[in-house]
Amino acid sequence: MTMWGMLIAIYLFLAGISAGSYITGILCDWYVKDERLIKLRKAAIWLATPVLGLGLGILIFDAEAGLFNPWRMAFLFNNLPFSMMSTGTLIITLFFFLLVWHGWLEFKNKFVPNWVKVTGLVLALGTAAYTGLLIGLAQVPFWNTPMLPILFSVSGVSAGIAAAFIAGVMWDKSIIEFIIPLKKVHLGLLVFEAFLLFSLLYVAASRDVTAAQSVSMILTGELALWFWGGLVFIGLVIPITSESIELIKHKQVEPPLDLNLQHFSAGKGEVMKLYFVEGATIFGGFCLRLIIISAAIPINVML
Amino acid sequence: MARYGMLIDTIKCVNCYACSLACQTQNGLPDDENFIYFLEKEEGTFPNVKRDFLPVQCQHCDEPACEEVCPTGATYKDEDGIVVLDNSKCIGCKYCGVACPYSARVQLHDSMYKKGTYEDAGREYNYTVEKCRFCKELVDNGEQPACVTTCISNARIFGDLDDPESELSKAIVEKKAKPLRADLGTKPKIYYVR
Repeated sequence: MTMWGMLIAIYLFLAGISAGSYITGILCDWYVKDERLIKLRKAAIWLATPVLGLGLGILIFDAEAGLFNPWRMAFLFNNLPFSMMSTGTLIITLFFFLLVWHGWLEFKNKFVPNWVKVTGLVLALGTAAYTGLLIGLAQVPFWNTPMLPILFSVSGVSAGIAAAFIAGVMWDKSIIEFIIPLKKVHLGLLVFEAFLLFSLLYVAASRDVTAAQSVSMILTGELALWFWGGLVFIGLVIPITSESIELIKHKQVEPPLDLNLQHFSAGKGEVMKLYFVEGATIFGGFCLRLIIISAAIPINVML
Repeated sequence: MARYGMLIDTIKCVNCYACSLACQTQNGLPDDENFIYFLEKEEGTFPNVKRDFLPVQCQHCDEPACEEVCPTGATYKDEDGIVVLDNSKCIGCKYCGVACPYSARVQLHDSMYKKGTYEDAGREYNYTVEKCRFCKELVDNGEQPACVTTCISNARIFGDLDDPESELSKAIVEKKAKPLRADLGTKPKIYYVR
C-alpha cells in the first residue's frame, strides 16, 4: 500500500463510471440510433453528472490540507501540463461543466449540437484514460505497465454502461428490449478487459521483482479473495456468461420489431436479472481499482 | 548558490537512530513520525551472515519526481538544490508520496500531537505532505543539518557538491560513494558508502 488508499480507489472508480455512462449516452445517439432508447440516453447523461460530482467531492475529501484550506485548491492548475493531477483535474472540471450543460439541454428537450457531443466524448475518454494515467505515471513498479491506462479506461466504460443500463431500466422497463446492440459492445469490452487484466499481471510479474510481489499478493496473497471472488468471478465470469447466453438466445428468437413486447419478456425476472448482472459488473469495476491500488509496493531502493 | 548533498557511510553507521531522534526534535515531529527511516536486509548464508542497515530520507534529487507531479507547485527546488515544500500551497493530495521512489514523504496533521512542539520548530503541519528539508533553517545560518551534527560515528557528511574542495566531494571520490537507485533517473544527491 502506498499513501493512496480506499478513497482514491473510489474516486477513480466513480470517475470511470461517469465517463462510461456518458459514452453510453453518446452510443445511443450515434451507434444504435434507436429512438426508443431516448430514455436510456437521458438517464446515462444525467447519471454521469452526480457520479462525477461525488468522485470530485471524494478527491477533495482525501486531500485534507486542501479541504481545510479551500483557497489552496486554486493552485491546482499550477503545474500544467507536467503533473497528471493538474491535467486530470482540468479535464474532469471541464467534463463536469459540459455534463451539467448537456444534461440541461436534454432536460429542456433542446437540440444538442454535435460539437457538444464530440467535446463531451473526448473529455469522457480523457477522464477514463486519466484515471489510469494518474497512477500509471507514479514510480510504483506494479503500476508502470502500458496496459494499466487502457485497462482502467475499458473497465470504466464497461462499468459506466452497466450503471446506465440500471438507471435506464429503473426509469422505463421497456428499454430492456432494445439494448441488445449495446450489450454486444458491453460483452466485447468485458472480454477485452479480462484479456488486458491477465496480460497486465503477466507483464508486471515478468518485468520487476517488486511488481512480481504485487502480482503474487493479488493471485495468492491477501488480495486473492477480492481478485478471484470479486473481480474475476462476480465482475467478469458472471456478466460475460450471462450476456453471452442472452445474445445467443436473442439470435435464435428474433422478436418482430414493430411489436411492443415489454409485457411479455421485460417481466420482473428479466429486470431483476439485469440489475444483478450489471450490479456485478459495477462491483467488479470497484474491485479492480481497489486491488490495483492496494497491491502497490514501493520501489525497493536497497538493491 | 550551492548544490547541497550528503554522504552516508553505512559502514561507519552503527544504527543508533540518533539521526532520526535529532530530526524529530528539530522538526517538532511526534514520536511515531519521522523523515528518516531505516531499511534492513540480511545477507549471506548461515553462519556467514550479516545485516545491512540503510538510513533513507529525502534524497534531494536534482530532478525530483515529487516536484514533477505536484499539481500546485508546493514542492520545489530552492536555489541551493534543496527540495522544499511551501506548506501554504500544499493541498495534501499525496501524489508526491506516491511518485517518490524513496518513499520519503510523510503526511502530518496537528491532531497527531501537541501543537507546541512543531510551532516551536516554526512549522505548521496541517495535513501537508512533509519531508526532510536538509534542515534548511540551520543550513541558511551556516550550520549543518541536525542529523549530521548528532551522528555519533561521523557517518554523515554534508556539503556542497559543486565545490570540488569540499569535504563531501572529496569523501565521495575517496570512498566511491554512490546514490541509491541512480537508474531511476531522478539524480539523487545523497551518496551512500555500502
